[in-house]
Amino acid sequence: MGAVMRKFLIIIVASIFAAVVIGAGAMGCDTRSRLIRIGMVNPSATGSIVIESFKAELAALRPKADFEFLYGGPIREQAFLEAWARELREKKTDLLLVLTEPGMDAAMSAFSGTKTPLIFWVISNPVKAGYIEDLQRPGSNRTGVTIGFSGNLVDGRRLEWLTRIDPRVKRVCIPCNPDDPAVAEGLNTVRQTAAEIGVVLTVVRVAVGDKTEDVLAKIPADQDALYLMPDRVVSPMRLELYREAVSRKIPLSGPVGNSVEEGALFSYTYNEKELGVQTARMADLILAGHDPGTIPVETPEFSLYLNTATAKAIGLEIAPEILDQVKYFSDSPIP
Amino acid sequence: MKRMGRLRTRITFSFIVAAVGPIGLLSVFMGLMGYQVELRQALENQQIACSHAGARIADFFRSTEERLRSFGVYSNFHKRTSDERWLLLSRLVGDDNGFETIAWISAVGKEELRVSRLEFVRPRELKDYAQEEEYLRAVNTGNVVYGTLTFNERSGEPYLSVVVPIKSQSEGIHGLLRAEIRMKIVWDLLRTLPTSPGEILFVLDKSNTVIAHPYSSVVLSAMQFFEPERSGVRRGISGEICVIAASHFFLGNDEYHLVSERPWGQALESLLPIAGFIAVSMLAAIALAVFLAALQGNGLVRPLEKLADFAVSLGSSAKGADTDSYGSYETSVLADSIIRMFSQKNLLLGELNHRLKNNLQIIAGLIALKSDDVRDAGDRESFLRMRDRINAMAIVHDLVYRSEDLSSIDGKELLEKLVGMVRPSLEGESRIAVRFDVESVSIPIEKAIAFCLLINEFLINALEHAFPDSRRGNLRIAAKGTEAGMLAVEITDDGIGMPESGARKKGLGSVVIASLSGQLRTRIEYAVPPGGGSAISFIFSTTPTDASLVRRTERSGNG
Repeated sequence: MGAVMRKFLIIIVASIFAAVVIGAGAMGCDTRSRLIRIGMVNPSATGSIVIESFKAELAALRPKADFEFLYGGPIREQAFLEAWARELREKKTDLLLVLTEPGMDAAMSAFSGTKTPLIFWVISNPVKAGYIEDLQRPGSNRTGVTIGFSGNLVDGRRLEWLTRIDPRVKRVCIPCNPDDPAVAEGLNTVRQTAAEIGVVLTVVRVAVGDKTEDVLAKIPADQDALYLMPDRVVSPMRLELYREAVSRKIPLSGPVGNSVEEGALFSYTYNEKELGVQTARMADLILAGHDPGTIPVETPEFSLYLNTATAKAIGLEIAPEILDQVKYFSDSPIP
Repeated sequence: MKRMGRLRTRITFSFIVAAVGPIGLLSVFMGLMGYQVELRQALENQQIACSHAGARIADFFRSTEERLRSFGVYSNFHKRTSDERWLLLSRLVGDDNGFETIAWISAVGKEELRVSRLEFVRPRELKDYAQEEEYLRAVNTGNVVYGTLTFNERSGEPYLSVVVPIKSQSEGIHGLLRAEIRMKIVWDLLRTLPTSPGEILFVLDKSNTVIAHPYSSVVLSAMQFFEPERSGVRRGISGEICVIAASHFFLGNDEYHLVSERPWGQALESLLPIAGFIAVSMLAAIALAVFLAALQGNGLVRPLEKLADFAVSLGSSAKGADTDSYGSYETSVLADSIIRMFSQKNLLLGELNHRLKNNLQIIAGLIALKSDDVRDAGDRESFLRMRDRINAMAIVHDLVYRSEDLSSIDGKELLEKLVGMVRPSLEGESRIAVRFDVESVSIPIEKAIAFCLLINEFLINALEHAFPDSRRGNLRIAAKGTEAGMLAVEITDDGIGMPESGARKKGLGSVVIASLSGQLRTRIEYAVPPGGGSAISFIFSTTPTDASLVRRTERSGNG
């Protein structure tokens, strides 16, 4: 048999082998899905609600995917947060979810130089903080959900709601740490809104290490309402502030939905469960192969939260038009 | 060898074409038919998905319009106080987060109140719409008017504005509600609609700009998609080759399209197993055809190759070439076989001629013995003549038997033996001097018998009739070859000469001579030499006679 014929036969046999492989693939041979590791960096106590919602929604969106969620629980100390972020990098995380600015700082430090996709949650102004380039086109490998903008924040809208819920409110006290840039951003918006609607603000400066009773003592007696910002320094003393507002029979607006569950009168904010669903959809897009840098930063859905037990405790009667617009009610008394 | 290779290749490809060709054509036909059916099915499925999705999207916008209209009319919005209006709009905004903002615009185009989902709207931010197209169109037509897609500078989200006139039959237009509809709600709606794997639904506005897409980056880049109505296989907005179907719906007076785009590979996924099966079957058929073609080719070509090799080997051997390099053993065995075969053939032919000669001599001897019993001199003469003719034939077979190639004999030797045979039968042989003037000429065996018998007749005639009464004389036999392969024969004597042609006896000898000269395709010339006597001459071809010509001659001779 000639050399030409031998070559011809070899080509035929190789083609048959390739065709069988391709044909078998085409006929439905499936490959096992790869394990997807999702790491989470969360310094907030309320972040767990978002995380659980995120996991449930992502599992629903990708029922065939095999996920491993790497979550070390809420970590408040920055050094521990950074150590956890480094550990996530060593574990070769495929996707990173980060809550709040401290979480972002730790994650960006640990994952510097990598292309690991990152989704952030509840960042007030990611552009100003330098996390992304633009809200529509974040660039790099990051996207996420923001609760505020460079101009009016939702905090201004919440202040407006405060005056609608209790039209008697003219003087509002804000205990906060204005040295925190995110707090300062929101405070600026609230000041602008207050000026428009004729509300006088009193800011009580709270520093790290301040005692709660000292802060309470600084709140003037003539204030018509208390207004809390998303503030890591003030957050630990929030329950005492709720009690103080009830004792003074004045309304208090909390920064998140969970604060209404704990005793604040109302909030106009995002829902943690809905936020988890929203970010799970973004994660689904990224896992489908989309560049995070081309996925625009989204805003969460905002809703009105009201605690009817607190309203009753402070003797406030809520107008039916307001009650119609409340999406989440709570009747939990202050612990 | 190259010819053998080409022959093998031709046989192989002919076999493959014959075996696979019909299967291939059938496969291509089946593949095309399957593709058409699958494509039609995919288009129908996507068209259905499009129609359903288009209806859902249109329902969403129409219900939004109706919600705004009924809200404005039944709440007597234009009669409400400022605080009441704020609460009403705030409730509308907060109901399902479907609106980014809702504004109340007076009948003269002044924005009096705007409530935002996210932010506090300062009074100085309110606009004058009196010269805005959407306001003018809505006021002039009394219909709902949709604006173009715009992006919120602060949130980055796209919105589609809709202006709904709030009017009553008796009082006309009281004002207008202008809402910014969050397209994100439409994206989420598109996500929830039932689609096939890989299928993407998106909405195009009147300028063919994508205003809703599951992937917001597509909307944010203000991507355009032309000719949405052209369904079929074409490049999609994803950049891939896709199966595309579309439907349209109207918002206000503007036409919008809902497009379904699905990657070609996924849309025609069910075709892949069929294509794979056909491909595997085709390749298996080709492989089988190649295998069978190789077998058949070998069966046909290998004997020819052996013969060719053998011929080359023999040729090389004949030229003294070294055949050891190529199958020397086999070649020598084959050559020995052939040589033995030829030797055996020659041996058999020689033996056959020898047996013939012996048999003819036995017959001649029997005739001679019988002639002794014949009393009539004439009859006895006839017997002896027959004996001489048979002996003449025996001489030829004897010479053939002794020849080297068994195909011809030497004419000179033949004539000498013939004369030697005839002379003793004549009385007083010494009185006739026989002179040979004959060249050594090869005479083919098929002509040797006729030639020998013809000369025999002439010699007997001469010896019997030219020198009567014990007369002395000379007989000359001459034979000379020519360049044209002819042999010229002349027999002369100085006897009494031949009688005139009309007086010649028409005996058996004349018949034999006429017959034999015909076989030699020659004509006998009779002449009288200048010194008297007689001369007989003829010329005939000594080249071997073509067998087929001989057969034709024999058939024509038989009538």
